[in-house]
Amino acid sequence: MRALLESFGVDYKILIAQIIHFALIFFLLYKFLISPLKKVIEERKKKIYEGLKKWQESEKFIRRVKKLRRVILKKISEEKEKTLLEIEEIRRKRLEEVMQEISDIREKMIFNLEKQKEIMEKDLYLRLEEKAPKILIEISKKFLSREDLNEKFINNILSQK
Amino acid sequence: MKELEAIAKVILKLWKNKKINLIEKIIENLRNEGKIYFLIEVLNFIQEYKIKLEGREPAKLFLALDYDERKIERLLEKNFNLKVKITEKIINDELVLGGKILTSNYLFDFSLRSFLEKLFKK
Repeated sequence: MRALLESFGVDYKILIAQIIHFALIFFLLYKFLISPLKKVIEERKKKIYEGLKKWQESEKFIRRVKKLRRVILKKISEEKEKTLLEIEEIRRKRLEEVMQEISDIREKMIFNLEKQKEIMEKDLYLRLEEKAPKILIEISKKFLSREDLNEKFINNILSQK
Repeated sequence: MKELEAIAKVILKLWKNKKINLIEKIIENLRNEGKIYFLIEVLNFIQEYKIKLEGREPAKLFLALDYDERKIERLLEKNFNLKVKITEKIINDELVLGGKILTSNYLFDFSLRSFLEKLFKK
C-alpha cells in the first residue's frame, strides 16, 4: 500500500496530516459555522413555512371575509330594497290618508261655504224684500209725484175691468 | 148708535111731514140734555142715509195728489159698477200715485203703493 502511494508520489504522513487537518477543519466548520447556519436556516425555513401557512390561512380568511362581505352586502342590499319598499308603501298609504283627509276637509269646507252662501243669500233676499219696497216707494214718491201722472194713473187703473 | 139712528129717523120723518117746529123741539131738548154734539152725528147719518136712498154708498177717498172726486165716482160706476158717493177726501202722499176708497163694506185700493207692495210680496 505504502509502495503504491509512494509510486504515485503521495506521502502517507502528509496524507494523514492532511486528513487530520481536513477532519479538524471540517469538525470546526461543522461545529461553529455549518451547524449554527443550518440552525438559522432551519429557523428561517420554519418561519417562512409558518409565514406561508399564515399567509395561506390569511388568504383563506380573506376569501371567507370577502364572501361574508358579499353575503352581508347582498343581505344589506335586500334589506335596503325591502325597507325602501316598505317606506314607499307607508309613504303611499300616508299620502292617500292625507289626500283623503284633505278631500274630506275640502268637501266639508265646500259644504259649509254652500250653507253659508245659502244663508247669506236668504238673508240678502229677506233684507231686500224688507227694504226694497220702502226704497222703491220713496224713489217713486220723489220722481212720480206729479199731478199729470196721477191723473193718467187713476184713469188707466180705473178703466181696467 | 141706536139712539142716534132713532133720532135721525124721527127728524127725517118730521122733515118729510114738514113738522119743522117739532124738529126744533128735538134740537132744544138735545141742547138742554147737553147732547148738542149729537146733531153733527145726526147730520152725518142723514147725509149717509140720503146717499143710500140714492142707491149709492158713502165713501172716504184717500188720494196721493188732489184729483176730482166726481171723475173717480164716474169711473168706478162705469168700469166697476160701484155706486159710491165720496163724502170725505184726504190727501196722503204715501200712496205715491192713485188712491183708495173706503166704504162701510169694502176697501178699494188703486194706489201705486199697494201695487208695488203686492209686486214684492209675490
